[in-house]
Amino acid sequence: MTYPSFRVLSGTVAVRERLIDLYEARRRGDGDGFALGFAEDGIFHILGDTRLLPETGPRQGRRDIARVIKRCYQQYEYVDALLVDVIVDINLAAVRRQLTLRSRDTGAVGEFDVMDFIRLRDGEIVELTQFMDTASLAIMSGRV
Amino acid sequence: MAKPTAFASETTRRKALLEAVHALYDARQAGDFDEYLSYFAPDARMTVIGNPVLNPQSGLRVGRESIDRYIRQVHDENFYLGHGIDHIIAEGDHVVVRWHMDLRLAQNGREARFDALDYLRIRDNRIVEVTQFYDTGTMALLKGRIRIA
Repeated sequence: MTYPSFRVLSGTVAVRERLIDLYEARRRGDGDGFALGFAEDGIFHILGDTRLLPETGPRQGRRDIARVIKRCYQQYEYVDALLVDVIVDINLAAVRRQLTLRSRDTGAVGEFDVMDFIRLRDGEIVELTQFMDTASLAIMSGRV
Repeated sequence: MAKPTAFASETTRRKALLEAVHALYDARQAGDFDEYLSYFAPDARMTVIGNPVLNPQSGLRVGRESIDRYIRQVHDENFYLGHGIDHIIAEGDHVVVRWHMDLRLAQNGREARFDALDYLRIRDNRIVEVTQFYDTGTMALLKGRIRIA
């Protein structure tokens, strides 16, 4: 049964709740659900050298974004994913997470402090750039 | 009249914050370390993400003295050719700064541009915590600390 609600979400509150939902989808490996938060021309970018980590580099458009999220999920098991902080400003946001990842290739486990920079337009993500310790991730994955 | 005053106050605070952030990064770039450190609380914590074996300047520093040693070390190891602040995100006591730096490594002369994301926590107008995020893999490659398998 659906009850009428006077709850109105707008501005930074709405963005924060939307981001929390999107990151929950990402944690589950739901690439399509995560990609829905992006604008049609949105860019998702894990900063890094593709020779070390093929998942790094920019991806544009929901289809490619969903694909790379699924690929990350195939490469790494998300043992734990804690949302540490969500900072929301006008059309900008930053999300800090504490991830415990297990490489499905090597079985090695590592903890990572990760920070994402997000630009928004009309409530949709136009850019998400992920900053993390790519050197340690490459070691954990057996890439170096 | 309360509303316009509050609005003006918020605007003034924001303007002051943006000016302070720019002054902080300008001081770092200029090598004016005393000025840089004056923005930190005496017990401030600075963390640079990464594994110290792969990226030797990674780790936690506690207190101005320790942060001072760190900032002088990285300026000895790198020539900072330029920098720029791209975005500042502020909410409550938290500030996130997206910036970039152009640098040349002293050890091998290699040059690169790095994007960085700094997470700052402010208390009583001083930085009490800063965590710096950047692409440690590319830096380790540039310094020859890791090689592609």
